[in-house]
Amino acid sequence: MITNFGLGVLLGILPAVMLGFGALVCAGVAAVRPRTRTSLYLWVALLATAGSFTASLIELLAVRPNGNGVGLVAYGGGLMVDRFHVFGAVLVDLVLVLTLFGSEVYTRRVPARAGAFCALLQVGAGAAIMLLAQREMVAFVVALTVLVVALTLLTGMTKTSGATAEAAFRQVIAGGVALATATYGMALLYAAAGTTDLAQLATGVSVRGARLDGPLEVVGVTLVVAGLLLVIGAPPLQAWSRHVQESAPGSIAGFGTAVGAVTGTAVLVRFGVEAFGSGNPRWTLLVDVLAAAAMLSGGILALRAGTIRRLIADLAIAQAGFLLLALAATGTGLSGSTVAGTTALLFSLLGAAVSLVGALLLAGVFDAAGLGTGVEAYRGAGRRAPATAAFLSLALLGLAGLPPLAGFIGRLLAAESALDAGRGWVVGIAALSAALCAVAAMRWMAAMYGEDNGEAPFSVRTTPRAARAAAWTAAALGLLFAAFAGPLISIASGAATALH
Amino acid sequence: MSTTLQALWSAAATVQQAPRLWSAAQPLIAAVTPAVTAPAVVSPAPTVPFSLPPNVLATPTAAPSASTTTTSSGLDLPSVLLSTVVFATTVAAVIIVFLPERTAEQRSRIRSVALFAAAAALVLTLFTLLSAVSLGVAATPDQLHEENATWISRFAFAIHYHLSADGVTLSLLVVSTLVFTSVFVAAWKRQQRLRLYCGLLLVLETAVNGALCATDLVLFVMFFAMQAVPVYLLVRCFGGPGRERAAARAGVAVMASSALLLAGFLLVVVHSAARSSDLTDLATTARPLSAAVGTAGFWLVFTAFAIGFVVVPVHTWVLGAAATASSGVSAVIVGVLVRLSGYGMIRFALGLFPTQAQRFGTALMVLAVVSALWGVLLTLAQRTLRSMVAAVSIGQMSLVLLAVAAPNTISLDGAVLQLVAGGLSSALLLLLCGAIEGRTRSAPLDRLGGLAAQAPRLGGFWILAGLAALGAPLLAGFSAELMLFNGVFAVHQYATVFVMASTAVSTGALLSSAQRIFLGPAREEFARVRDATALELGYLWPLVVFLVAFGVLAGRVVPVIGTGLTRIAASLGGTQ
Repeated sequence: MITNFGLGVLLGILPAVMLGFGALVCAGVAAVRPRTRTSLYLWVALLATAGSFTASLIELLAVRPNGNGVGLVAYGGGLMVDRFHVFGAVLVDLVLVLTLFGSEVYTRRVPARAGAFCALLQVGAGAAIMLLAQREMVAFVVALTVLVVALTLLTGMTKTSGATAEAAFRQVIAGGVALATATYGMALLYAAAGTTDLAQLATGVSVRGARLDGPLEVVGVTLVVAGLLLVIGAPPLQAWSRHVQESAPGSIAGFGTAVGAVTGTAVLVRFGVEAFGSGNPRWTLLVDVLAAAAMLSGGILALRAGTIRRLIADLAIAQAGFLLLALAATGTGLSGSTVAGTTALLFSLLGAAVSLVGALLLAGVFDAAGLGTGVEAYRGAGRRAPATAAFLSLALLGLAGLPPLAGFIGRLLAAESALDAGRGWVVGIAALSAALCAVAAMRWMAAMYGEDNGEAPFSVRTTPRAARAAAWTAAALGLLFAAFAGPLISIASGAATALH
Repeated sequence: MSTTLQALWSAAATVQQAPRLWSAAQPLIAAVTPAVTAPAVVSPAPTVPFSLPPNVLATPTAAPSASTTTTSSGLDLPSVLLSTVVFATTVAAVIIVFLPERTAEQRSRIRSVALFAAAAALVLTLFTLLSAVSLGVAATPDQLHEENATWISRFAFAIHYHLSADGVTLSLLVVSTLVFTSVFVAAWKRQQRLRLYCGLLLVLETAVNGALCATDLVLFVMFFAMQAVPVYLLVRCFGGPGRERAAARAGVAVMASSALLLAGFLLVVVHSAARSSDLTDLATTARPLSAAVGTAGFWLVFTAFAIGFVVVPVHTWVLGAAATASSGVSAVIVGVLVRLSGYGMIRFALGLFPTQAQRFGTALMVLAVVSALWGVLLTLAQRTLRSMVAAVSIGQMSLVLLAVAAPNTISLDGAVLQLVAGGLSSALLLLLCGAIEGRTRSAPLDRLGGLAAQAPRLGGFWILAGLAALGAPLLAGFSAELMLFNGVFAVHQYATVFVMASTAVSTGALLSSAQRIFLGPAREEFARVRDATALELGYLWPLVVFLVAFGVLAGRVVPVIGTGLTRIAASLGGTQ
């Protein structure tokens, strides 16, 4: 563990600082020279992301000598750099890179806003990375606020229609409610425990020596969980997320929902495991019920989805349910493992993030080609744009959790963890949801590969090659993650161990 | 780029495999060359660069090794033969995605790639089976080409990339690769949407071959569930009237099977102490399952396979898909996918839950009798060729179910041979249906007749296929039914006689359909019908040859199949 406080703090915030610096450069250049080429912003953002990734690797080197996976604890435990943080940071960087390449179609269309757009992307990613390192409730609130504001501004700034404006407005409302709810919850927990440190909260005893089992604490936990679920876009608080995914440009919708899901779930894990206690029925029962609701509602809604965006949004809701299923199974099970649930959740996040980003980017490619979003518009797309349709199918199957993709392995691990933890009834619902999602995805594939609807041909070349490559890569990553599931699960297991 | 890399990898793997292929060929060469017989294999001549490890011949019934096999040359060469069999078609599918299909030449290229991959898988499988047959019971074939690597280890349980091919697997791999190759040949004249058709079939072949070779429960489920999308799309996109409904039912059936399988397998893994989903680990280190868990697991796994196994009352999807899909896809569904479920029933429902299978033997017997009776009624009620062939397969599979209800070495040997014979004869019949329908514009049975005058060769094939389905001597079905009868009769006498009689009636009805189709006065509307073309002969003859080969060489094949059933038979204890 790093003992030099200054060096430690610098290292702890370095990945986010790199992105913040990139954001400043983009914003500064856009302010000083508004007519700068859009590619400059892209390269600056990519360099900043590379710097952030390198900083994460340096953190990993610092963490490596410690068996418990913790490399740095600063500000009385408020800032925690561990393998869990590094895992999340690298995932956020990956989503950012895919989004930057995938956004080229937007930045070319509205070059005047490219600088601000790239800056906001980096600010959002930086805030997410900072949030993953926090173990102190006040710092949580600050980082969460920055993240929510950045994501809301992104949606609002890139509005291309009235529907996008409405989605941005809904996101503002939802973000505000999420922040307020989580903050109230944390305030109640502080009132009950007398501390804002999650580690002290986890002892179950307040700083005054009283046991934490009163109604105040229960309400506090419920509000924190509800606030974070709103950020993730899980039922019953998913309305804003569906609107954003339906209305915003593909890359922005992908970034917002993927980063929201990654960060919200990761924070929920940190709260659940470090503050509420892993396997504690005080919160796992609530999460179980919500997981079942998400899986079922997502599956049923996906069956009725009339547009590709809505299908993706509904599949994402079901996916969020599987994440919650793994989250609730973080306790000790029949096989004695305490990290299996968290490991399953982190690996599922990998598959879910790339599939979600890939599906939305590919839907964006079809959008840009002038194809409609309804199922009729997609009829025959498999013949007219075979490669793009094949990758969209791959992404949809990944979101639906069909083999041999990472989504399937994530769901398998989550189901095993839940079964291991004695939650057979949720696993039954999970199986039903998986079947519903699969049928929904196959229905769209049948449309894509069914008969041509006889409409005028379209060309996906309206989307720049780099953006298409990013979309294809994101979809193909689901397959790659499945092939290398062993090493990736080992990494996820290391990250999970740091929490437990 | 990735395609090129994959092709390079495949080529490198094949080159790497060459010494092993040579090594495996030694017993085959020894068998066909009297002057250099078994002793030469046991004590290889110094000039032979590679040979089998001595322990393969020295320990005939040894448990499969958990590690990757090596050659005796001192080089540690991992076997990739089974991976090549499984993934050759995937590589071809990836290549096909990026091939255009606008011109005839481009379409020809797509066909060639698909056929080459399927034929390569067939040749490698045949090579492995022949080398195993030449060894006889001297070695368990799964030791020869086993591939075992830990895939996921840092979790509550370990998942292995474990492929092996014992006698049971090899026999069914031959059926799978042969039927797929025949279907690709049959599609040689196809012009419409060739890329999608070939691509989906190639992915489906990967799924089937992978499931057959998988020795890890999770790996098996992954391959098994991979069938869902190709089956759904093949029926949906290349079917006739009513294809939407048939495709949806087929897709849901495969998905439901996979979900039930996964639930059953997870139950076993979680409640065993093995901390692994590998069959070998579960067999050696797992603690016995409690009665409740065992019962739940057995019925979950049994129901999962029963859906694909055309057991009444969950048989309707197969009938619908077979009647609606194109003839090639129907041949794959009835000839391969249904048999895969039969394989799963023997390997997993029986292998993992021998106690429960014996306890519920009577219930399974009743299901077999009901299926057989229903199969007869359905066969007699059908008005189209393809639905009749599909209905006959219900009777064939009820025979296999009867063997599962009364498991012993002889009945299980017969059941596996029945899967092989039924798969080949069904595929042959369904491909013939396609040929006849193409000439008669899919006329119903009662409007057919007198085709023998114009198409005598097709008539001959039809009668031969009907005889094979009936179990005539010298054909594969004969040995299978004989062994089944011998094995099961002692346990369920009346049921055996009833099921055998029912199957004979339904296949007899199929055979008598030849009279309606080919005999009688020639009809004017079929006056311009032509006999089987060279292309059709090209995919019909191999199926016939293998039906005869499995029948004539049953004495050589059955011992090899028996090596794959050793562990299951041992777990059944006193019932052998």
